[in-house]
Amino acid sequence: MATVPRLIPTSNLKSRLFRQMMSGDRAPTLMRYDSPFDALMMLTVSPETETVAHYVDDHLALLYDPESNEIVGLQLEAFKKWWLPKYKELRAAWQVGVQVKKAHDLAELLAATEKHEKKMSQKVAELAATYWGG
Amino acid sequence: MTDAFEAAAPRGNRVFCTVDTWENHIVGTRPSMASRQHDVMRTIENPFLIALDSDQSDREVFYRLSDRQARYMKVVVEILPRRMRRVVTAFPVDSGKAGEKVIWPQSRD
Repeated sequence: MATVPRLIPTSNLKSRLFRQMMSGDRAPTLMRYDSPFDALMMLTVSPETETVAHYVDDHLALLYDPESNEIVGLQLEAFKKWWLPKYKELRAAWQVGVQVKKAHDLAELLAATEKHEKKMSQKVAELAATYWGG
Repeated sequence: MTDAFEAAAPRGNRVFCTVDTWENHIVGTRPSMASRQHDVMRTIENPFLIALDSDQSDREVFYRLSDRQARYMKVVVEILPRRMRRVVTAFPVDSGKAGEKVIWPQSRD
């Protein structure tokens, strides 16, 4: 049982943007791995948007805009410790990102990064939806 | 490394946040946190609950009900020697995690 009472039920959250992310119709605006926190954060709106984390379980949080209750991103915690070992497809997509960083020039890097991030965000969203059941 | 702030936590611990953590990790990831340093400090100084992190035994989590509606401020800190703690991250949440183990105020060292 959670130690800190839930303030907003999951059923109050809206998933229109999240479904667009899953279908690949919406590219991420931010995909960032926070190494000290070991969390991958993905957003489909401007990073300036305030978000609140809504834990589905100990490893997955939906990030929502508190003004609209729209799910606008995901936060995968214990990303290297738990998610990558557990999900082969995520590991594969993550490794592609590692390779992207070895691109030879800026243009190649930008193009490859954009392509990778879109693919990665779709993969993460699909996996999160399956995991969450939402 | 210079500190963005330091705060006194319950249980006699001192918590500090480096400039790098505040600017590059917390605000760098969530720009809306730029105006919330005071809230983060208040969460450390006067939490309503402190728990052990559900994944990492060398981390504690502080929670405080925010002034803003329907959310808490969550601060994750790393346990260091000599009763010191270092902020790892901070962000708004609307619940805790099931795997967290409460260490204050239900038990005291």
